Amino acid sequence: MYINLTDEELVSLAVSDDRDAFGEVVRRWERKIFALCFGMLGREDDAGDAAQEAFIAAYKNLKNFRGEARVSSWLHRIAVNQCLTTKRRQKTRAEDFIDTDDDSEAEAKTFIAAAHYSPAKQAEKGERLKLVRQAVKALPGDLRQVIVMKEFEDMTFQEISDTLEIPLSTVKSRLYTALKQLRMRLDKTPVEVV
Amino acid sequence: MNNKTECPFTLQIVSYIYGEFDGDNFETHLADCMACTDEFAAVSNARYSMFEWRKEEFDHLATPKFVIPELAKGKAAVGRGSGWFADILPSLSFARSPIAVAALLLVCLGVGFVAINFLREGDQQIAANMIDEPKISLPQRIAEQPANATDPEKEIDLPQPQKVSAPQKALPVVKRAVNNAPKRNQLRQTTAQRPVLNEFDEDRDESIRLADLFDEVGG
Repeated sequence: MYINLTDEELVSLAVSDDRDAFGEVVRRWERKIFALCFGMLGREDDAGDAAQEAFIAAYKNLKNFRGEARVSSWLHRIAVNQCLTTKRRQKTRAEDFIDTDDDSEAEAKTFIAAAHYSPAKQAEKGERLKLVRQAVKALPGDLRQVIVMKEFEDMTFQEISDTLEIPLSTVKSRLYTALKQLRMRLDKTPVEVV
Repeated sequence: MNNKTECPFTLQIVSYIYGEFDGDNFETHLADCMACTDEFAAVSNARYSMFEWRKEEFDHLATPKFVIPELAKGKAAVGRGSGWFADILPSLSFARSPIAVAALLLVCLGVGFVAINFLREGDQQIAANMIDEPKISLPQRIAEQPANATDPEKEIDLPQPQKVSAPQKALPVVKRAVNNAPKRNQLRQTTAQRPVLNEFDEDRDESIRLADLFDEVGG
């Protein structure tokens, strides 16, 4: 029922207390929001917590969404702010409890957890890994070289620069280009807004 | 909002994603710039796909054990050196050929036996050469002739052993003279005339003797 709706339509339904509509929003964007949090925090468990809190915050602020930006951008902004909050919290080492309603947190978990361990999700994951493998293989040699050295060998930019005898800026530029090309090959979500 | 706007911070996204960016200004900018936020999300998604791929298909793999035969040979060669002996030595190792080791031991024993016999023969010859040589006895003037101890002029007949046919090595000359350094010719002469125990000439001995002291004391 919700598959053919746009993100904005789903948010409009969610504002009208249609929880399933918001569930569909979460299902569409949970991985990308989780990836964004992972990119900011660097750890899967921290990224999972931050994504969780980002969706809770988004659900609470549905009424504040004015439609000026895309839903994805709106969710990205919320996730970034949540990650920055998490990082500040980790820096100061203070235990700030999120003032959340236990019911809403449980509902948010329902939105996420129910779909996370489903067989369909596992199949989707397998398919995604296959796509990643093909996408990396299709990258040009110089780009593939840099991304493999970074991701598989955990080399720093300087180490890659010294090994390949190329400038540091070239390393970063190639890595950025490689990730963008990977993104283009991997983005096959039907409702993805270009 | 135009998400395709190029922002000067865009290139710093990669540094930030991989934790190699220092400074809070990017984070502050990220919270305010929608373009960078969307770009960051897209790049993060691709990056996480790589991370997931590595985690699922690579991290659980056990590191295989690599055996490089050339390295193993090289280590053995460094310890033993090169050449024909190094080449045959592996075949003589205990693990490979105990019979070869036993044969080697037998050969060593045989060589040792021959060497011992050779040395024995050599000793026998030396001993045979020494049979005709008179025994050298210590002077008995003090023990047998106490009465004549005060007579420094009495000569004591010392046995005159035969000269040994073996050539004597030239010994280094140690000069004890303090006043005048002998010339080279004198040194050579002195070396040639260096007294030998079995050719001791008492007339040339100018050292103080006990008999001389007794003579002076006794009056």
